[in-house]
Amino acid sequence: MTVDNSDIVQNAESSEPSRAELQAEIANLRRVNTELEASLQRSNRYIRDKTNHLLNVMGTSQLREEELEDDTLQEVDPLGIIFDSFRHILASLKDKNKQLQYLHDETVAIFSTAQVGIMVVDQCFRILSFNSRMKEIFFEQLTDGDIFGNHCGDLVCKGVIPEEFCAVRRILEGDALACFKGWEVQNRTLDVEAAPIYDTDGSVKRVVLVYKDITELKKSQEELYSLNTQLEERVTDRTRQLQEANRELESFCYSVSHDLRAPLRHLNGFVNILNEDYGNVIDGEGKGYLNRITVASSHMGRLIDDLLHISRVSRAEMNFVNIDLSRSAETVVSMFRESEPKRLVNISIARGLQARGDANLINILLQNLVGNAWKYSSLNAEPHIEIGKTVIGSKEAFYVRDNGVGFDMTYHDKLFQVFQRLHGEEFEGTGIGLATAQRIIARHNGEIWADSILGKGASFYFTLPQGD
Amino acid sequence: MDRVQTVEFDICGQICPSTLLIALREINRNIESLNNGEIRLLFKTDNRDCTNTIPEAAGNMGLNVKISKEESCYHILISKG
Repeated sequence: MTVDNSDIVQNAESSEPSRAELQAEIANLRRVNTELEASLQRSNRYIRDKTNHLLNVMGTSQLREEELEDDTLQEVDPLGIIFDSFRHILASLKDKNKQLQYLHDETVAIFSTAQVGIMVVDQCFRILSFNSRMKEIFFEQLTDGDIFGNHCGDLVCKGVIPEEFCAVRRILEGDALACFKGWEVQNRTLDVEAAPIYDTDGSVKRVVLVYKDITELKKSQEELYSLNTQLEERVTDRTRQLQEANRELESFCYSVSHDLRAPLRHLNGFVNILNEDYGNVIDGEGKGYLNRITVASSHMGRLIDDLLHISRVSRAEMNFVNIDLSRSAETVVSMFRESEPKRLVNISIARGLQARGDANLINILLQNLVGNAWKYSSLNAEPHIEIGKTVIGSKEAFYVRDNGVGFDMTYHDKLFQVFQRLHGEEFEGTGIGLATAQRIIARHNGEIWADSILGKGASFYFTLPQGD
Repeated sequence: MDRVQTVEFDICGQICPSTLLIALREINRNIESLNNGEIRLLFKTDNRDCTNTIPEAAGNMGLNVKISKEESCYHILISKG
């Protein structure tokens, strides 16, 4: 603090103070000045101390006097800066507190309404909290005072659960999650899951345990398993009965087919006698009737032959061998070419088609499928038959494809039924060939299906066990 | 298109606690614009200590902080939390 001398001179002129008075006044002013300087220093020291204290809270170093002199300290106003910052921090923390409160309320609601038992223990296995479902499962007879702070092993596991199945121990040993299925304790079956709550230093502070009571579920599963077993037994029994009935039916079919041959032979024989011995007394109309009897009888003969054939296919003993399907197909194709040497059919057979099955049955299968292709492509001026292998979905399937008349896919479910035909008399047949093919494939545990566009040809696919 | 304006402060050559005080002063001055997402503050500093103190203080104010090490200095980018 400084003293303005001009004031003193003016005062001297007006009131004329004595020299002694002036000296006293100067001394007084000096004293006041010294006190004010000391006060300012104390204020600055106070500001520095408080600022340093707050800077320390904020984790940084202290103000250095050589960097921030007293003259500029007030101008920079570090206390003001930190005060404003703390105000913003406080506002932010208030917001966070509000969010935390919501989260806490949510957690409490979930905790209390959860249909699973939830318990929290500390690293010394002491029970810190639990929900009402947990109490229902384990602590029904106890008061809260008997539970809090007690060792979870004494109240939950009760020495029944071996140490290696202790979920808390597993978490304390470093697992991020511990799961045990089908814990049997206190007449209950439980699935147990445990997870850690970490401290700021990364150590496990608490362990959260969740107990799902699956007693009823397990009981239901056991009942279901028992019912399934009974059902399987009944299915096996019924299958055996059906197989037996099938065998009897096939045997019956074979006998009937076989026995029908004799009266048919008699019928043909008598028609022949009528033609030969009475041909001169039978007029044209009668001969026409005899001719129709002969045609009908030979058709019946073919039906009987096919029925016998299908019976044999169903009854024949299986002899599984590796089969070169390409070669078998070539033999079958040669047979058809020899039967109609004048027909020109473009036939391609993929090389290396291998399968495992009964050679006789596979041969009959190919005869039926190639025979169909041969027959139904006869109206095409440039008939083409292709035999090969492809992949459909995840299955490898063999196929016989032609560019013949095809069939309407609307009726595809009738395709493999006995006596079902999708074409008229323009194509010969008894409607047994594809039924026979399906039985052969069924006996090899395979599948057979067809795809077609009417007028553009048909493809028959089948699967067989793989060859070695 | 990024419509947030970035305001840069080059405080290289300054050390703690000045760096922290400067950063706090600028955050305080711009707290509303920061919280509204109108601006973000980029502090360029070569003082390693303040890569802890500034983010901690800004984080406590609910702001988002990204620190990156550039060729000659650290970049502390402060934006809406």
